[in-house]
Amino acid sequence: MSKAELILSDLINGYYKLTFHAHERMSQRNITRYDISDCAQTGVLTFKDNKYHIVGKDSSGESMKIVCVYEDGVLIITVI
Amino acid sequence: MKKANKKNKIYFKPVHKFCGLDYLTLTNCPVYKDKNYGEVIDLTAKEMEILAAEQIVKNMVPFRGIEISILRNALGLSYESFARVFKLSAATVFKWEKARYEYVSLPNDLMLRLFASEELGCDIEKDFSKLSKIETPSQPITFEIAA
Repeated sequence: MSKAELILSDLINGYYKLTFHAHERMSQRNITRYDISDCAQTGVLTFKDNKYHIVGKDSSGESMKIVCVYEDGVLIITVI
Repeated sequence: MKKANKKNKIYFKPVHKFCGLDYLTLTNCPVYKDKNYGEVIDLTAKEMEILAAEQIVKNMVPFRGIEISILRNALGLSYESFARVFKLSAATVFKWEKARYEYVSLPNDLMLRLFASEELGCDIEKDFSKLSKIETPSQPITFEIAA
């Protein structure tokens, strides 16, 4: 399994951590774990500035973006 | 999975809107400081869901789509496996979860609650007259992780 596949799989299955900032952003924007999962399933992953960017759709079909890193596991830095 | 290493000292702080639930606050969430990314919650999304599911069941919070999603994922069940427990179709469970902020009917709520309490090992009210008066929490629910 490639690193990209591993990251998407961990995002879909809930095996990731959140920064405090990402948790706050998710609360403010009503983004749940299911939106993260849907975004990972529908999205396109790119690597830029040492971070992974996944642009996809949330569970209501709206566009969203996950910014994360992989260091012994997935850490979500922010969601947009 | 990334774990706080020896350099990352764990401390505890409250996390409001835990798992996206407006009424739920974890008062002693383990957190560490990452030199590049700031404060990190030292729990995976999966671990957070298990904690939230226990509180939903223990505190008799009525089930909406969002609570059902948290419960199903905390139990590690697919739509199909979860639906099979209740002899329902996966589409029904999907429909419940899709309506994130809509309450399910009382019979469905009671069915889900009994199953959840058994699976999570949480004691719940068994008196029907009390069970049937399940209400949205008027006060925020705060809880702690046991030491």
